[in-house]
Amino acid sequence: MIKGIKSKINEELFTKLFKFSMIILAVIAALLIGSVFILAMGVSPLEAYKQMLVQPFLSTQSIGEIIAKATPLIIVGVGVAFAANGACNNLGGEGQLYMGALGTIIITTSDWVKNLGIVGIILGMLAGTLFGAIWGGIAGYFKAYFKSSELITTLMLNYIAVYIIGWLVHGPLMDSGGINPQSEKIASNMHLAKLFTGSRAHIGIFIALACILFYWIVLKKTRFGYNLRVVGISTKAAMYSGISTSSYYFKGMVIAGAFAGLAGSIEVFGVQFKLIENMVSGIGITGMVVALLGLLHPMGILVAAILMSSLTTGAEIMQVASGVPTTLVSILQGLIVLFVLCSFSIKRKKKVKVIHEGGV
Amino acid sequence: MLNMTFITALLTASIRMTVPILYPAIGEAVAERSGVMNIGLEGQMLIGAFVTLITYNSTGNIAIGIILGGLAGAISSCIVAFVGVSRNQPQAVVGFMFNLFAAGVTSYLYRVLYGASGVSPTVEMINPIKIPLLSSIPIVGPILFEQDMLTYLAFILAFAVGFVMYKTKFGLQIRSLGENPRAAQSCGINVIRIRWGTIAFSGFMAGLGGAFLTVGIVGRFMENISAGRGFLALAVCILCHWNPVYSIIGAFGFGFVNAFQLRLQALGVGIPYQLLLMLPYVAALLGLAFLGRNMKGPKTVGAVYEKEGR
Repeated sequence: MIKGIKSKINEELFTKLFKFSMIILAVIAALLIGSVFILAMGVSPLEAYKQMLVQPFLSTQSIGEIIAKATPLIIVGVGVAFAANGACNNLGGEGQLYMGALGTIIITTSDWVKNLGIVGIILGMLAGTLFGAIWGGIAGYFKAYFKSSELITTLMLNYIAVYIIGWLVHGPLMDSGGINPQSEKIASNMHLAKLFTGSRAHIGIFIALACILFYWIVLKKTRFGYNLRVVGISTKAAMYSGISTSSYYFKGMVIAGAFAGLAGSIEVFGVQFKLIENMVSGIGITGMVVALLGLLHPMGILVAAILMSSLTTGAEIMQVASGVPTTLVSILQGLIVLFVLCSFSIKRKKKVKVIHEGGV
Repeated sequence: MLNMTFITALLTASIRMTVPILYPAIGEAVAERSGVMNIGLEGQMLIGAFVTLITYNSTGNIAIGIILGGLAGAISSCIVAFVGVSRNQPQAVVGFMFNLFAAGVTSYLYRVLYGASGVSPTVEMINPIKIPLLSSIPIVGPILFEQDMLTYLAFILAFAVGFVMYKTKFGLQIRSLGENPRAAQSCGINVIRIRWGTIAFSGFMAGLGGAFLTVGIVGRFMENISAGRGFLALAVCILCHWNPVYSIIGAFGFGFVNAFQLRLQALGVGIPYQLLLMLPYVAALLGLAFLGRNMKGPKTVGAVYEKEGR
């Protein structure tokens, strides 16, 4: 009995170690293929990777940048992971982020919230979360009650959100005092405090860490999280135990949208201070990568978010230093996830008892 | 505004805007009928469009460019086939990551070859071919029979593929994989091989769609030239009941909306152009929500298939 438990623990530990080492291998393999692209540029890959992978950790400014970039990634990643636990693929992070940013701007630039300071921040974040939740909820509702695939509806909602933002910042929400297509800026007493001077890192990272904790508690310690996981693992099992799968699809997408909306809100309070086009481009997709690479595990999401944000930060340094385009990061992200997926299908051979007689 | 010239021009443009959605939609219909989902259409379109540009630039021949564009789509889709079919990983995630990879590769190589801000090289546009007799029919003639070769090919392929899928044994085999792959396998059909084939075919079609964007619509390559058309094709595939022939209707619907918003923009109607650009996506979203419910699609789309499982 005890021996059985022991071997089970070893088994779990082994699978975790196996997956972890596979991710490391996938990163290395992707970097190797990436070096071919760098060579095409006529730059030495070693030199470029030194700028990309080492340089970001050498100055406080770029470390701050890593933290600033990781903040929304963690939050979006948590949202995607929530939905993924309930068997929904949330590809709509981008649109939900934009909607969150929009909700925040609408509230915080309105006359009666303008000068509220900290209360304004809270109201703005609530509004952003609500807007994101609605945007995610649309896809969730369509999936749960109209059976339309969330893969496509979330993608459509992304484009719709991008165009809505484009229209608003050129039209109704455009700052009357300026000529650039951007909204009015939020009051300076509503900016999130900086972590340390000389970088863009802000205290939003603590909200992100709280989100991870929230994710872990809800998923592992509550009935809701348990039911969500049951739906994700087997819809049949969920149905037999009386869990309404469609309501959990809906809830999962609402939560995913809410987190992405919160991330958009924090981008406004911490980094952008206004609404502009392309303000969150890439965060939604990278958030998906973060959740996948983090294997939906709270710590995994944190580590994956830091990895992705340092890659992006490093790529910017590399582009300035040696002219290698930052889009190298998209190539690496895509390759890393594809390699990780490939490696997970490699299963260890198990001894199978062969039954010679009788039925199965 | 609503005179004959306007309507003719609008419908001609609609047909042209139909083509880059129709190609990938046909391919996707075949792939999903065989039980696999190729979300990577968008990326394969980008690769097709890009390869067409570089082939034209080095050979000066559009025909070779188009063919290689299609082949590049097919070859790159093998990544999706390998991870999604042979390695049995969730096809939605695989396709999405493939899109990210393809967008990265095309824009990276584009910047490497032509510089980040430099003026992009133009591509010779494909010539319209007037079909004798038919093109002299009033109204319908100029709309339908003064298009280019790739446009005719798209419509011919829609019917040809529809014929193969619904009237031949091979088509039945493909469709059987979408309904019950294990039963198909027991009849001696090689599930994995046919699914590789259908994904490669959808990649080829997406590549052709991308090539048409370069030579038929824009006349050059831009980063993110496909602008969501691959995703619209996914919606068309579902809305048109996974049927290549019906896809013509759906693709034309989106082509029309697209052409219509371009005309309105050109006319300077007081509607913000972003709201017009949004129309196809809103249409697809509502269509999926309210028509998608009664669609009985292939049963096993996207499901993991294990050869030796139960």
